[in-house]
This record gives sequence, C-alpha cells and structure tokens, in this order.
Amino acid sequence: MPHSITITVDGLAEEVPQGLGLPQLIERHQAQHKDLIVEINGRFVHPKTYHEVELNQGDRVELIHPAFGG
Amino acid sequence: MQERLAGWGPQGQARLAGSTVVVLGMGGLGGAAAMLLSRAGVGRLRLVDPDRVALDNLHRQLLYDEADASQAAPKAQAAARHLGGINSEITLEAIAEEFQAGNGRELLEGADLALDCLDRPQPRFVLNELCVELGLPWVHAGVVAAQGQVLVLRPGLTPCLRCWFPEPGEPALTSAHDGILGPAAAMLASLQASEALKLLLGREESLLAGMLVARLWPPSFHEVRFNRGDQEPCPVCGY
Repeated sequence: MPHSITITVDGLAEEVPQGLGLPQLIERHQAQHKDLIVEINGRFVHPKTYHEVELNQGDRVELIHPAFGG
Repeated sequence: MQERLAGWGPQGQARLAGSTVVVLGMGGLGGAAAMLLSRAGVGRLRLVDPDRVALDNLHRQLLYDEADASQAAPKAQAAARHLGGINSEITLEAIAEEFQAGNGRELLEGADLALDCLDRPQPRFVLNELCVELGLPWVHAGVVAAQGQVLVLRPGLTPCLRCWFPEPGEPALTSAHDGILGPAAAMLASLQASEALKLLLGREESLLAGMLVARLWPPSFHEVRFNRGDQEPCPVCGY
C-alpha cells in the first residue's frame, strides 16, 4: 500500500501518493496546456524540468492558466 | 494633484508630456489603460486596433458608448475621439490596423513604451520578438473571465515573454468560451497603466518584478518570480 502525502494545490489541501511526479499532478488536474505556469513553494518551475520534479509532503503548488484575452 | 505624489513633481509631468506610448489593442484593457495614461498627461498615444465597437463590448470597454456600438465605430477612431475630450493637450493617433509582423516595426516607431492589450497569444509573441530586437520596454497584460496577469518586460534586464512561455500553444482560457468580467479588465488595465507610468517616470525601483496573477472571483493577488534554473538561455532574448 503506497503512502500518501498532503500537498496544497491552488490553495486547497490534496492527498496524493508519495513519489507523485509533477507531470502526473498536472494530468490529475487536467492542466496539460503548453502555456501553463507552475510554481512550487514560491518558485517558478521551468516547463522543461517538469519531469524532474517529485512532490514532497507540504509542498504548495500553484497551477496558473494565463489569460490572453484583452 | 498627481504631481504631489512622491518622486513625481513638474519634472515627472514634463517627462510624461514628452513620452510616446503605443497601445496595441483598444478593447477592455487598452481602452481603460489609454484613458488612464491620457488623464495622466502622456503626450502622445498611438491607438492601434482593427475592430469596430459592438454592443457586447460595452460591459468592459469603458471608453465606448451605445452610439459607438450602433454605428459600429472603428475602435481606434472612437477611442481617439473620446480621449481627446478627456485631455485636449495630448496627441492621439488612431490606427485601424491589426498588429502583426509586417507592420509591427512601423507601428512601434518612435515609441518609448508599448502596452500589450492584444486579445490573443500569437501577436503578443510577435510583439515580444520585435521589442527584444528594438530594445523597447513593454507592459503585458491579459484577461479572461475574472483573472489575468501583468508583466513588465525590459529587454536585456528581464526575462521576455518567451522565457515565461517557451512553447506557446492554444490557451486553456479564452474570452470566447469563458467571457470577461468587466471589473477584471479594468483592474488589469489599471495595474498595466501603473507599471507604464513607473517606466515613463524612471521609477524602476518600484516596478513589478515578476508575473502578477490577479483574480477577482474569489479575489487573490499572487506574484510569481521567474527562475530559469539550469536551463539554456532563451532563444529569443538570451536571458
């Protein structure tokens, strides 16, 4: 039975499996857009490094969809 | 009254009077931002938009009225007319053209600053490349539904738009699908105009450093700081 951890996504607590990668979290939130901005614990995460990021207990994640209307 | 603001004074006002700002897109963002800059006394505004005023614009496009909509008035010309009634001492250029790679350089000629109030991603990245090439500072804003973001972009000093969005694609949010809340457009335009005034006044120390993400429904403000990590430099700006 895999352990779970608690993270915060867009201000809401969420329980996720330990070892969950950022791409999987993005997929869980159906946020797979190229223009997505991801911030973890106050730091911008470059899109080319998403696959290197594993989530840890207590992480605060923001998944930001930019608005390009005027 | 604004001259009493710290660091402004008659010198700051003269600086604004001698400035040229190009406003690209005269919709919900551009109309409100241009109105604020004209009231502040920016000496020359070049207003660029190929569209005409429609009734369903009026909830968020503060410069226009029912008469403009009933005549389907060109936005650039209608904006110049209304802004001229607000401040008769400034020069207003109305250009009913779509900003694109072919005319971009000409539209930006002589500008001290550009405001990106465009309504879709693609021309924003054209503007990004041109501003990097010309060394022209600009302020980006975008709005959809009740949220949006603002960025101050200074070539050579800050990341460019492509740094933030290395692989631009179809946006998740669109005004056609998600609509635009009138107060959200006005809020984003105010933030954009405020950064523009700081740039024109030379108040770099007060500029927004990251991407300001603002939401109204429910309300939140959040600033994201850029971090390239160990990635290679941006192919557009080299940052």
